[in-house]
Amino acid sequence: MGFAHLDRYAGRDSWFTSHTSPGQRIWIALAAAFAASLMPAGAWRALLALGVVIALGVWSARLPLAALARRVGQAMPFFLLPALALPVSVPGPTALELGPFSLSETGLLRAIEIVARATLAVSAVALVISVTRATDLLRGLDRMPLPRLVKSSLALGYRYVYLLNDELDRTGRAIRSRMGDASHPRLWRARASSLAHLLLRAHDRGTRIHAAMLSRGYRDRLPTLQPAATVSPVWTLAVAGVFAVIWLGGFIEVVR
Amino acid sequence: MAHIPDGFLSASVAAGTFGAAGALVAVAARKTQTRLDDHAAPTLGLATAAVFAAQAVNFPVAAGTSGHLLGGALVAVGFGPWAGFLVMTAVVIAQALIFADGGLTALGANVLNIAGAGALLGYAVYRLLTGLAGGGPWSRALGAAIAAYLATLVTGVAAGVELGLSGMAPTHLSVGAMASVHGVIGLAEAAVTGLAVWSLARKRPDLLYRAGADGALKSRPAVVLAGAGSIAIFAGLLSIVASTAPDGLERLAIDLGFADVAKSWGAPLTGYRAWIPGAVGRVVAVILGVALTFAGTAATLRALTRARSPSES
Repeated sequence: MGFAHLDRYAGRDSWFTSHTSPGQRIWIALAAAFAASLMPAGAWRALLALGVVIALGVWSARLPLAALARRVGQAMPFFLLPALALPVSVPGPTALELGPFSLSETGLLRAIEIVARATLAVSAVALVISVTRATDLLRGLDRMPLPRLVKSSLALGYRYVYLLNDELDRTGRAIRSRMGDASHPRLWRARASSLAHLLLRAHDRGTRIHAAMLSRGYRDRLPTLQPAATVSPVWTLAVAGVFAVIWLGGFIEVVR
Repeated sequence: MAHIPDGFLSASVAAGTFGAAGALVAVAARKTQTRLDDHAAPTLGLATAAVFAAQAVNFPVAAGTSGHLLGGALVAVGFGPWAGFLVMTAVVIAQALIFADGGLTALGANVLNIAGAGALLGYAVYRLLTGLAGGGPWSRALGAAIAAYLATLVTGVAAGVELGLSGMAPTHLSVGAMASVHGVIGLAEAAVTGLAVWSLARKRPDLLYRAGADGALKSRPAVVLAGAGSIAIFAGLLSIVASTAPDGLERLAIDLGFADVAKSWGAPLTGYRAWIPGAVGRVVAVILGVALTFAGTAATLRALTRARSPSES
C-alpha cells in the first residue's frame, strides 16, 4: 500500500492552488464548513449562494467533478442514513403516509436541509483535501492552534501508517494460510493477537525511532527540507469574508 | 457510525463541545508531556499509526459482514489514558481532514465522544476493575473488555445527547437509537479489546501502561470512587432520558429493527420502575443497580484471579 491514492489530484497547478497555501486552505475549508453547518433554518437562498461559491472553487481548482463526487459519495452514507430517520422521528403535520410510517412535513424539510448543508460542507472539505498533498496538509496543520504532541502524532502517524499496515498484511496472510477455514472464535483470537503484536511493535519501534531522531539533533519540531512557500493571505481572507457575508445574509433572509 | 458529520449540530452545541474538547486536549498535552518526557512524540506517532492500521483489520461477523476495532480503550490500556486520548484525538482529526469522515464543525463533539469516552472513560473503568480484581492476564482482559463495551456505549449515547440538544430529534429518540446501535458494536469491540489485552498481558506485561511510580496496580479509594461515581451518575441520567418516554424509544427501536436489543437494554430500567415510583426513585434505583453490578463483577473477577493464581508462577 502507498500514499498515492490520496494525492491523485494534488499535483495539478491551478488558480486555486497558486493563490492559497495549504494552511490557508484548511482555514477556507473550516470557514465553509462552519458557514454551511451553522446556517439558520430556512435560509435557502443563502445556502444556494454558498453552493455557487464552492462550485466556483471547484472550477478554479480544475478538480474533475467525478473525483469530487467520489469523495463526497464516500462520506454521504454517514449523513444520509441519520437524515432518513428525521421525517419519522420529528413530530409535525403529516405530509405523507408510507406503509407503517407517517412522514412529518417538518421532519422532511429538516432532512432535506441537513443533507444540503452536509453536502456543501463535505464538498468544501473534499475540494481542499483533493488538491493538497497529505504531507502539505500536515505541514499546514502545523500552524494550527493545536498541542505540539497532537501535530507530531499526526505527522509521524502518517509517516508510519502504511509501514504498520504492510506488517499487518503479512501477519494476516500468515494467519490465512495457516488457518484459513478456522472457526470464527479461533480466527478472532488470532487476529486480536496480531493486533496486540502490532501495538508491541509500534511501541518498540517508537523507542528506536526516538533514539535515532535524538542522535540526529531532534529538538521538538519535525524538520522539513521544503520550506513552505509564502502566499499572500489576501485571497483566503476574501473567501472567508464572502462566506461570512453569505452567512449573515442567511440570518437576514430568515428574519424577513 | 460514531462520527457526527457537518450540519447536524447547532451553534451552541458545536461551541460547547469545542470548548470542552479543547480544555481536555490541553490537559492531556500537559499530563503526557510531564509523564513521557521527550519520548512522547515518536511513541504517540507510532500509536496513532497503529490505531489506523488496526482499524483496517476486518473481523468476520455473521453472514458475510465484518467490523473493525475502534481502539480507544485498547490504546489507553497500552499507553495510558491521557496519551491514549491524544492519540485518538489525532485519529479523529486525521479522519476528518484526510478522509472527510466526520465533520469539521463537529470535531469538538467527535473528539469528546470518541477520544474522551474511548480513552478516558475506558481507562477509568479498566483501572477500577483491575484495581479491584488484581493485575493478572485474565482480570486485565476482562476489565479491558468491560471498559471497551461501556466506552463504546457511552460514545453512542453522547452522540445521541448532542444530536438531541441540537434539536435534530427528540433526545430520547436519538439516544435510544444510538445506544441500541452502539450496544451491539460494543460487543465486538469488547471481544477484540479483551483478546488483545489478554495476549499483551501474557507476552509483555511490562509494556502495559502502569499508573504510579512503583508500577503496581493498586486500587486507590479515590480512583475507585471517582470511576464508580461517574458511571453511576451517567446511568442515572440515562434512566431519566429513557424513562421520560419509553414508548417513543421502543417505537423507534421497532421501526429501525432493533427491538430485541432495545428490550434487553431497557429491561433493568423497567424492572426497577416497578417497585420505586417517581423520577428520583428511578435514578436512585439505577445507581443502586449499577453499584450492585459493579460489586458482582469485582467479586467474580477476584474469584477468577484467585482461582488461577496458584497455577501461575
